[in-house]
Amino acid sequence: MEKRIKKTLLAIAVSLSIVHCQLSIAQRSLGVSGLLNIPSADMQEDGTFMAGGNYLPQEMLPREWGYNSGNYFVNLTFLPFMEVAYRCTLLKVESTGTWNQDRSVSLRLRPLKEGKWWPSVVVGSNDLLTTRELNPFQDSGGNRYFSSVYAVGTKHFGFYGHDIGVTVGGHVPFRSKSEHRGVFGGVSYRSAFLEPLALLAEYDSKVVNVGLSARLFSHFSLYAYCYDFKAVAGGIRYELTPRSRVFRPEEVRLPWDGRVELVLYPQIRLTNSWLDKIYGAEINIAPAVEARLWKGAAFVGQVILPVWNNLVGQMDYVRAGVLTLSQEFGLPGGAFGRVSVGNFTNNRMGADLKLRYATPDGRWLFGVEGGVTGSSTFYEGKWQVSTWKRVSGAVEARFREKRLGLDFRVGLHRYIYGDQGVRVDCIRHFGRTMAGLYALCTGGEVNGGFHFAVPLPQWGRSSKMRVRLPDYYQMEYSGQSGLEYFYRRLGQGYESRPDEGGGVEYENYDL
Amino acid sequence: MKKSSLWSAVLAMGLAATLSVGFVGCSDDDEPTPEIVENPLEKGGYYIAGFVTDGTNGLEGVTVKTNGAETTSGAGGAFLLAVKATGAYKVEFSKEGFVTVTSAAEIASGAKANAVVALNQDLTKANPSVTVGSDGMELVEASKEISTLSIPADALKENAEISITEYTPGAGLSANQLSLSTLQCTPDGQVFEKPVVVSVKNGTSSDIYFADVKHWTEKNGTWVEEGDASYDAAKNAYVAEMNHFSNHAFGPLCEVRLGQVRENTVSTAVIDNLGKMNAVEQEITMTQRSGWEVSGSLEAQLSNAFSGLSSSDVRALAASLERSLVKIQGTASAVRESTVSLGKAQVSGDMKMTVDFVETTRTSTISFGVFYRLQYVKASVEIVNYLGCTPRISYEYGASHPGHSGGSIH
Repeated sequence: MEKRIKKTLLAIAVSLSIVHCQLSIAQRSLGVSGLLNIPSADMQEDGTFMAGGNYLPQEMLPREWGYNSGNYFVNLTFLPFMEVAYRCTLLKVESTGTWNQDRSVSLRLRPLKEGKWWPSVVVGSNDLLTTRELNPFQDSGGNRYFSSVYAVGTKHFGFYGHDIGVTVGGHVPFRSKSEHRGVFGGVSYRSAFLEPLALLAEYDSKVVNVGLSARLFSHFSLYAYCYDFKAVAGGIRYELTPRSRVFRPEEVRLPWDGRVELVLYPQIRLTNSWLDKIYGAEINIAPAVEARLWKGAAFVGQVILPVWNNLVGQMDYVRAGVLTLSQEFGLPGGAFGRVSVGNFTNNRMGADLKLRYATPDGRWLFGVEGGVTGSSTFYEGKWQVSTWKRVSGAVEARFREKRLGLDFRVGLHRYIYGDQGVRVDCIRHFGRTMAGLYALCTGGEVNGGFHFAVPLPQWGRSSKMRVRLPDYYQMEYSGQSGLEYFYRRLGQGYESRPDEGGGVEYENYDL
Repeated sequence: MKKSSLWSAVLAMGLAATLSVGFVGCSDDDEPTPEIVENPLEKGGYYIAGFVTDGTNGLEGVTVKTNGAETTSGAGGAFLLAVKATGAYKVEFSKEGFVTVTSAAEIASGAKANAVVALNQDLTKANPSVTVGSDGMELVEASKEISTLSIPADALKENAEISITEYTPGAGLSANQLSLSTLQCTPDGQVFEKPVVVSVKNGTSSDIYFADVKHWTEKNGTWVEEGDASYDAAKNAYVAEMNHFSNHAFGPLCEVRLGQVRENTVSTAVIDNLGKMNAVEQEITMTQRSGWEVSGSLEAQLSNAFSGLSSSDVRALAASLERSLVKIQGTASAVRESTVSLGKAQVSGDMKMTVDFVETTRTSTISFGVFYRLQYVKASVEIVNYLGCTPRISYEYGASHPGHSGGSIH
């Protein structure tokens, strides 16, 4: 009898501890994994990308907001145990009365993964740093409105297909001006009969919130809740977890076989450096004729065609993009290089030399590059170039960690306007998709951000002149682009090809 | 090299060159940066501006002066006084042969740079003097013929050169007094042995006349009540006595209720220098209205207030009222438009300056008492004052003027 009771209790215990991590992950008002307004120790599946927006009633916002607002965010589970998010919360600028935004970053690390008998544990932070204040413990450094550091544990209990997640955590008093203090906790429940729906209740260290979330069409999550039984909040996000996928041959670009190609480069630039507008936006289409001239030699002729922008300047004009003649060459010992002359990106024109050496196993790549350039601009519709007198260059090394598909890149740079700095990149490969984080210190100023490169479909392999999209659509976000960085022109570089930059670098000798 | 590739390259170069607009210029400078200048319009200073008229037409050559600033009215009577600070100003208007008057103007604390306060003033030509002896004289004011001075025999010990002029006093100096007649009597300070009787005509029939009509004299720029100017039904006039010469006013008491100030953007000037790197300079002018007017039709308001009053009395009462308001306003009812130059604005490269010219008006209610068929009735009239115009400057910053540390994705 006693044995039977023990067996029964054990069976119940085992059934209660069945982990359903993926099902229990709920939304959170700050665009990271969690319940409603509190973080949890649940993590998304490795590589999951999320983007979305939240409606935030003024009751749950810091006192600087005297009105309802909202935020939007992008989020990436960069590593199985690391989640990063970038978020913009809309706010009104007092001086102009126009909407702008407060930017903030969240980081979550999971030292302990949930097991049969123990919970998962996550330590994380929101809005820890601000411009020109990198010491998170300093009270100074104004607009860290959502700053918090926390530790949280979550344990899921399953029974007959139902799932109950229990979350308990506490804020670390790391900064006296942080509004988040004390303990928090919450419960999520997901029924076996209606898995896409979850009921959530929590105490966020100030008030009690209750709500529900629903997952729609595999990729969308909606949630709504009652904040302190006084206001309604909610949000929506898109979720995408990259799967390792074998591309069909026609989807992959073959090595350049000498045919002339017309490559249609989409260009989008969003800059949040002005008080009177949320973004200065610029959208162009930049077709480039790319032709092989002789062995190793190539011509790229690109024209930038403005589609739309809300700025005034050279961005209004049809203008030259990358306009180069380049010659690749091999060097003894497997090293290779490329010399380019012409009009480059970022309003530069000049001559550029790149040298690369990759170890035979592909784990290490070393590079040296340098150039002498002048400006090449189209202000007031006139193509104006200056003498080539700015010398820039870099020494770089890259280590590839193959198990997780990670690239670590470090480079010592002398940028165009003479500032010298160090840039460190960490790039994760999810199949052919790349996402990277970087930090940069140049001219005594710190910058950082992220970049990504998404493979684009290829077609038209048989025709003599192929029209196609570039291999990747790539973007790079830098945290600082205005004021000091702008006026001192820090960290300014260029690319000599339109398909390089960010996570996509010159690494193959394929001409 | 394959022939087709060569041709493709040549074509591509040609395409790129053709599509690239403009021409290639070369300089030693690096990437263009916007020329930064300080905009003189931001530096401050204020204006008092308006018109001097003879009641109908502009008066040229009137000296207009206040603390530390002086100017002369131009053709059409327009003047512009530049002052440095906010505060209350007394503005003197003088011209040979005209009665000199002093008006009040105020530039409110917190006023924006280049704010213009409107001030209109009528000047009156002084009447010639007549000789009055000890046998006295019945003296009718020459220009308007509203007031009559009865100087009794033996009021003067010896002959005196006497002049009386019905004139428009300075604007803004009296808040609670209407004036049916304002007289400059010279020589100032002339003392009479016997009281001089002043009769001010009631413009209407005796069916209606003003209540609480007072006699004021001006002492050091301030109007001081001397006594009543009581209504004499037999004369159909307001009668008062004076013992000495000064500036005298006769009119009913009134209550002025200042209404809400309204702001209205009447015009906009734009200097669009976005996308250009050199600073630009441009003169900024604005058109401003000054003066006052009765809100709606005064005669209609009076007809409604006094039903049964004959149309001739309504017209006469309206005329009397308008004339009475002159003492507060400094000018007959009129709204004039002038162009004011604020000087040259300078705008930095890659910036756009917008100047909204905001006109300020205020509607006030002026209440007064009348006896209508021997019954005391309180009546009121609404007037609109054009107080001035303020240029409000705003900027739009181009791509080369970041406003905060920001971020960029591209």
